[in-house]
Amino acid sequence: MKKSPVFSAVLASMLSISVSFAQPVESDYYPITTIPLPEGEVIEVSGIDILPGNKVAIASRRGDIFVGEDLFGEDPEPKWSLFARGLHEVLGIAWKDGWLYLTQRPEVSRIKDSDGDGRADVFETLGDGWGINGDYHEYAFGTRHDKDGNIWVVLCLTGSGGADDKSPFRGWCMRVTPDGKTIPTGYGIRSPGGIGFNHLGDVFYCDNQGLWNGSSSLKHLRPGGFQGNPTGNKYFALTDALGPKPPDPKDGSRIEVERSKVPDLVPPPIVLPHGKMGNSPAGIECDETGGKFGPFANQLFVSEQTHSKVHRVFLEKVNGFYQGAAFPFLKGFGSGNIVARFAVDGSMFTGGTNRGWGSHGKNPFSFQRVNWTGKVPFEVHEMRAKADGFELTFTQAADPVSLEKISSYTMEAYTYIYKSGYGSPVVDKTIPSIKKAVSGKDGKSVRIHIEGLVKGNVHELKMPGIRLKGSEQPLLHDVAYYTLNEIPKG
Amino acid sequence: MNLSSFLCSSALLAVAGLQVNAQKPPKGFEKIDQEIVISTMEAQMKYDVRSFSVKPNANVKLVFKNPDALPHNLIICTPGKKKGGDRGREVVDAVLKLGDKGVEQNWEPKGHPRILVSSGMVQPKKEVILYFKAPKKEGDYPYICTFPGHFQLMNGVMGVSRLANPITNLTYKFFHGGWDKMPDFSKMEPKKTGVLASGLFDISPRDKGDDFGFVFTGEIECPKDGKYTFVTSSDDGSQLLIDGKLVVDNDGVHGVQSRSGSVTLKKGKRSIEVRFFEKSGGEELSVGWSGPGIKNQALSKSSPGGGGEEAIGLLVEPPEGEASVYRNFINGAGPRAIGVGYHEGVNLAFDANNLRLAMIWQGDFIDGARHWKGRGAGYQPPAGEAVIKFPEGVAFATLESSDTAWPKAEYRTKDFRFRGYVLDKSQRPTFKYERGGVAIEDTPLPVSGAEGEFGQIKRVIKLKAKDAPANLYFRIAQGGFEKKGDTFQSSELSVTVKGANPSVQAGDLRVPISFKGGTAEFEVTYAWAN
Repeated sequence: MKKSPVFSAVLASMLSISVSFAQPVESDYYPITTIPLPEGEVIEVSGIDILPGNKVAIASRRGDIFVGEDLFGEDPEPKWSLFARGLHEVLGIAWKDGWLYLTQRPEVSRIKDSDGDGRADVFETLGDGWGINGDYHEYAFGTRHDKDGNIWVVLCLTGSGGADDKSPFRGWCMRVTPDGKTIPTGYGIRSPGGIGFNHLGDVFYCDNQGLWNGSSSLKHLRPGGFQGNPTGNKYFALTDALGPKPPDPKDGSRIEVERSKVPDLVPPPIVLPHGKMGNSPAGIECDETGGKFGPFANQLFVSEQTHSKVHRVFLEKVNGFYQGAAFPFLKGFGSGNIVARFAVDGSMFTGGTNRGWGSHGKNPFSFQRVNWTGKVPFEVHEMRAKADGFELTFTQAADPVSLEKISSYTMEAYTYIYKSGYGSPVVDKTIPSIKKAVSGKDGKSVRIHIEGLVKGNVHELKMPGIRLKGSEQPLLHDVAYYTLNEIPKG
Repeated sequence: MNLSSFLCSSALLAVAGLQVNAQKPPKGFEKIDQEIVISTMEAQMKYDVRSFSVKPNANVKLVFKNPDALPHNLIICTPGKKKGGDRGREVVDAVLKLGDKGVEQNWEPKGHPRILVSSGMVQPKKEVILYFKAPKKEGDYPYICTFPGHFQLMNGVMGVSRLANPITNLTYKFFHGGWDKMPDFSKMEPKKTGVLASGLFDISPRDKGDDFGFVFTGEIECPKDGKYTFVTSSDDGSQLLIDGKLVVDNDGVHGVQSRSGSVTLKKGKRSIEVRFFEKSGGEELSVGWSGPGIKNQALSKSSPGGGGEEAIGLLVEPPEGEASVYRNFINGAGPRAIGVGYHEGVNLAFDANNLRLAMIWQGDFIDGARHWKGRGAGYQPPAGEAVIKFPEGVAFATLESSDTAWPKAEYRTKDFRFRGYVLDKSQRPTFKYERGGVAIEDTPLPVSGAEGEFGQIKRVIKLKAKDAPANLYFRIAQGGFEKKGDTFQSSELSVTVKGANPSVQAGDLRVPISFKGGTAEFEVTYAWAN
């Protein structure tokens, strides 16, 4: 089979430039570079971390760890070496103090090359306080270390919606401490696709559409928090860590309704509307490069497996709850994106696979790098909820006239049924009315006044009419999805 | 019984010069699994069959005919150090060393360790029938004529493989070049040629990953008159020809794609040819056939059209001199299994839920295809043979007395804590785990078997405790063990223990652990019973 061209995204952009020179495309700002992997190896990249000396470690679903050097530069020709083989589906790696920490299906482990031959020879099991029963769905995704040195692990249910007696704590979030304790930390998880921190060290994960998940979403793992799927609540019988078993939510309701009755239910900060944004959100990576990756400091970048994309997420805290907006960011990756990791130079490494679940990118696996060219794309930078609408800021000054035209915008609000069955159609659709849009002085922000905001619902804002100042250039991505669980007080 | 002596004695069953039909099969060979006919070719100094394959342990009937004007023999050799790569030269060299004695000994270095089966010298226009049990160990077993000067041309290979099939004389030609369609290989010079004794179409003899091609030719034995369907599944193009006629056309550059074709054939040997080319990216070739009495038999290591259920084709093979680790769901060792395949040809699976040796086996290690294709559902069994399973549940327990019933098996014990493993320079693990205050280090090591013999596994177990527990026992195995000298034997296993005194108690083979100065150490050797 022929490999797809190395720089398909770049090629596509060159073609479009030659045909119609007018509109910029994603790759003008964020080109994707494919990084060659060792010949003959199948590396379905499921974990990436940066090692001292600018080396990069990658883990694979087959359970191998490779370490690469010379992955930077325009046309990288990396040197790869095998660090470890035969581990149990590693979905999370983290380098710390000479050890590589791994989240394998049954345990968090740490491994080390003690004799300096380049291959790991010490494999220590750190924490394994959960069970597996042989079901392929029982995935375990792990973070890097939090500020206390813990690794957070989210455990997929047994099958798509079960919780086997032989495999305790499916559907739970566990923390593995530096001294090897496994602490039950949260519950209500269905099928995670990845986990990560924001710049403050708070922990988020993506859960996929399915039972009790009307749409896929990005969720906040607050200790003691309930993420919405009660299947794993039976394991309250095994631990006192989170108090008594809470009541089950009502089937066929709405998150907004049930959260008033089930106090620990954490509403998803970001609903990623199924089919519109993607079908299968995965890893979460925060831009802490201090501007080396462009203007989106401290925002989250979410890998999307089915659509072979990376989304961008802005979060704010309203009334004590995280919520915010998701934006399209970059498409055209080689396979199904699973993880992303920033390097110190501002490179974002991405890895993916489409085994078992297909992806738009047709390669069975890929390892790529995204770099910012230094050109600032014209994008919505942040989107904040206000008592009567939203405030948007932009990465570049917009044409104030286009910002203030009501016809520059359309808005829909909707949600999904909170039910035990699989997924949900879009329901409760309304058209909030945009009353007024007021440009900030410099054209770098706009305040949109709206009647008919719906608490709990996704607010899909389209902005086809907004133009760059002094130009006919529209936004690079003119849509945002804000999940309005909380409305700030006036 | 020792394998080589058994095979030598079975070789004696061959009686030169008798009529085929007059010779009755010896005891144990009432049922023949595979029958092969090999003939010398008149005035050509060649066997007509240059390769054939048999299944391990199969009852084989080999008819050796000599219509030539010279005497010839047929000696099947064990693979030797070069795994069959020397084509049996070691045995021929031994004939030369016989010197003057060569004539008396009929040019056969009797008792040579690499002789597996011998026809004895067969005079012109005579034939013999050999009955033998195929070796347990998979591999390439060369066969040769040891009459001086014949070896160079008179040789062949018997492949022993679980996937043995009715293809004989399978050879390959390997080409370099980039194509978008099947080229005319007949006009090209091959980079390499070789024999595939296993009878399996196989693109692994390639020396590069892109821009190459293969032409395979061989003969396939059709058991009956009837309609036969052939299928190829390939990435990129492939074609299959029977008696020179195109039956399957799977040409072009594409991902893994299956195509089939049918043809009516008479009973007997037909020529089979498969052509394959790879442009770039992934490469794969699977071939299979169906026909009267044959249902989807694979003619390659992976089977075509297996869809998502296919669980072979990605065999994990320990590199030269190393062990390979495979952590996954292993059938017989639980969901948290750690498989270890040793290059020496022995394998084990450790159950990290109950901290026990779950299984040992011989031959191939494990196939990753179940877990590495599709979503990876299910438990994968060992790929090799002679699997010995050990009892479920914990392997260490404190007992009131030596014959107390062993605690019942749990899915996962809470008494133990798995601590991981360290790998030595050969990637061989020492497992570490704890039970209460007892730290246990458990080092299994492979012991190579003699030629044609199974290897063994030696396991060194070290315990350390601040407060040594009383009445701690280790259970080695379950089943009817009998003590013979220093060993304990069951129908499948032969166990010897050093540094402790095992005994059979309540149906188990148990070892009481006695600590001295807070430590204990003993060694268990697991050998496969004959």
